[in-house]
Amino acid sequence: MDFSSSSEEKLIRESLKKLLESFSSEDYLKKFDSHRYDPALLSELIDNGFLVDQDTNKINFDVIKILSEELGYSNSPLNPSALVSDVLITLQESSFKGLSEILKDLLSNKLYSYTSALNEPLNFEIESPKVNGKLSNKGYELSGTKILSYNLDIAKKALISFITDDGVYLALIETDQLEITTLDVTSKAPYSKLNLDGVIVSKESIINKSGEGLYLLKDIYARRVLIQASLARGMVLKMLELTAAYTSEREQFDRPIGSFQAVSHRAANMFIDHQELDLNLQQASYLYSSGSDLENQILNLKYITGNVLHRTSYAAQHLHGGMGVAKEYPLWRYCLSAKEHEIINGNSSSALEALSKNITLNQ
Amino acid sequence: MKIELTKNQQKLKDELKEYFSSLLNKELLSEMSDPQFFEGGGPEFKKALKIMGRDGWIGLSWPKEFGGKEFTPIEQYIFVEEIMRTGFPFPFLTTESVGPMIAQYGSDWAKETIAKSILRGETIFAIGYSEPNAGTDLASLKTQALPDKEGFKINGQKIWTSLANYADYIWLAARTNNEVKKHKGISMFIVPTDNDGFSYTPIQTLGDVTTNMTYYDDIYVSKDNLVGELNSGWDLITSQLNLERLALVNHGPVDELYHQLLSLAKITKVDSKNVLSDIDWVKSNFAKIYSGLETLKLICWKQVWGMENNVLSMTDASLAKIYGSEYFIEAYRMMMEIFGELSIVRDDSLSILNSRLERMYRTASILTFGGGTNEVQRDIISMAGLLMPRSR
Repeated sequence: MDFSSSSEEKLIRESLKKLLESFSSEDYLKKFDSHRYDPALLSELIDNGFLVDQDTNKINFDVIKILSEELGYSNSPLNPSALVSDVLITLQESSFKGLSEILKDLLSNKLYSYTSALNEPLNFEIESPKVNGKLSNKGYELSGTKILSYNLDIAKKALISFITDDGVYLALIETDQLEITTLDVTSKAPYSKLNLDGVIVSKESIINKSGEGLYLLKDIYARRVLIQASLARGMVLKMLELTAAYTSEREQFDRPIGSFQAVSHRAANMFIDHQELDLNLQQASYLYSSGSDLENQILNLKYITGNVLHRTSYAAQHLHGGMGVAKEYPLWRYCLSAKEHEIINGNSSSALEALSKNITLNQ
Repeated sequence: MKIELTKNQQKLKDELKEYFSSLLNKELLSEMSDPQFFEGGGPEFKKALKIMGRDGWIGLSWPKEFGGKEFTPIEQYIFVEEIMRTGFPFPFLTTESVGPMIAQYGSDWAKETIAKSILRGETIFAIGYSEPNAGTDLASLKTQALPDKEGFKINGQKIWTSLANYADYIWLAARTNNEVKKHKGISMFIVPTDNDGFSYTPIQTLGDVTTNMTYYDDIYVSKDNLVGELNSGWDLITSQLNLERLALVNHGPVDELYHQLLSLAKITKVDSKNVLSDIDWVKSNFAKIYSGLETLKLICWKQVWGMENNVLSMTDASLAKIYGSEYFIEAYRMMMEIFGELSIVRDDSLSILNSRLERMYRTASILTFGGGTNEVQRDIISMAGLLMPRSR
């Protein structure tokens, strides 16, 4: 049993912290308050090999998780999940022939040119798409809608999922002819809606063999939850630090408010929440990297991530009083991001329901 | 990062499971379900303890030079987990806390007589720490041990002295110096319960566990009964906390109950078509219990890993205490909800798991205040973990 971080992990974390310093000052972040996407940061991360290992041309998911934690901590306007985890790692794992071209494009142009469109309105399980594909002479004719697709409006290609009589399929399709509508979400993250009615997916653009789609989607979901929990871990740690510092300084009744047990105990509960998230994230990450079955741990992690994001962001706001909601203080951005990640890719309640079905299955 | 048991640790777990299943015979199980023996002390309990001593399952944490197995904290945790799953009231504090301290710091008489007898499973201690006015603030204790002839004369009163009704000795903390800071004037003594000056009155508790008020009236003990240096008892008291951490919120008992109840829910019919586990809210309760259990297991594992690698922080220990004790209350509640009214029925034909669940629920509240109340643990987290100002 070993809960320690490797020296390599520490080194990566330190380098990332250093890099992100110049991309996360209050003045810098303000520039993205109406559209939270920072292409310069993406470019810098690619240049420094944090997205794709430039020696091996491979994506290291452990590095992506550390990156996500640090992006969460600094509240940087960038989510690598769709590009790196959904598209690149899925293609890497499915031995997709066009991967080297995509990596070449990414490394030279440094743009968020590839994304995924997997989420659907009122569908809480991305493994079970409702977008339907009917077999025709040209391929599959789709009907249905995808929402909250990250950077879809600037991407050249998108990984989409759909259900057919023959099971679930994933396809990497060109975006230029698609009906894309940008969405205005509270966190101002760059999400779009995609209308797939009448869109034809050629057989060449399908990346999985028959019967493998569900497996790939389950894997994508696991990685999404791991990345989301990593982002959350960083966010929660920062909200905790802000709260501890603020309540230690802020005085009322001639003493720091943090010296009131009512305040310090609530902050201690935030600390416990952070540990709960941290340990379950570590466990699920270990199981993922060792190739173990982790379906229940992933559902549990999603359940915990949502709960912890909700509880800590609300407690942080409350313990800050008015400062917690004032836009001149950084906490508000964390709270909006926390809600975003609490509510997408399913939520705590839907994850709990799925977990409960698995546990009580009578086999 | 590697968060799982090693092959050897898993092997130990399996070995212990097998050993305990053969140790817990029908007679012992019957005695364990009798309220007067919930805390041990019955003839079958004493017999089993001697067998464990003979088989080398006492003295796990003791250094090898004192006849122990010198198990690592993780191995000790596994032992505690497995024995707690069985419900056997193993006297951890005697065998794994007091015992090694006597073996290391006791007089020659204590080492030769008491320590070896503990290893054989023949001697039981009760812990005499808390007093009516010294609970969470233990260092305020007032029981006195004054120099007398070649030894000490002890006078005072202790409360919550569990097992004193059948223990052979009390592991007693007494004040031996009033002139120094309160932590600095405490010493540890071995006090025989067959001394005429010793008496006790039982305190019945909500969970049907009997604890005791104990009285020390002019009890003379020789210098041989002093353990460690005079006035250095506080160090021995705090060194015992490590063991408490392994046992206090160990995930074993709840994990055992969870699996037993889940199996039961899958076969318990609620009507002609459905079993209990088909009901949505029952499923939800099981999932919430599972989730907390996973977290508790990880918290405990991290704690023993921290102990093994000398990186255990105060905040980790406080966190485990808070999370575990508060989780137990919730988990038992949700488990009882699943079986509804049957959870509180004691009648043999209807009771669930021989009323074990209901009994555990009634005893669980002890943990949120015992072993350092959770309010103090939260103070520790905010001060040591978050560097916030001291609470007033």
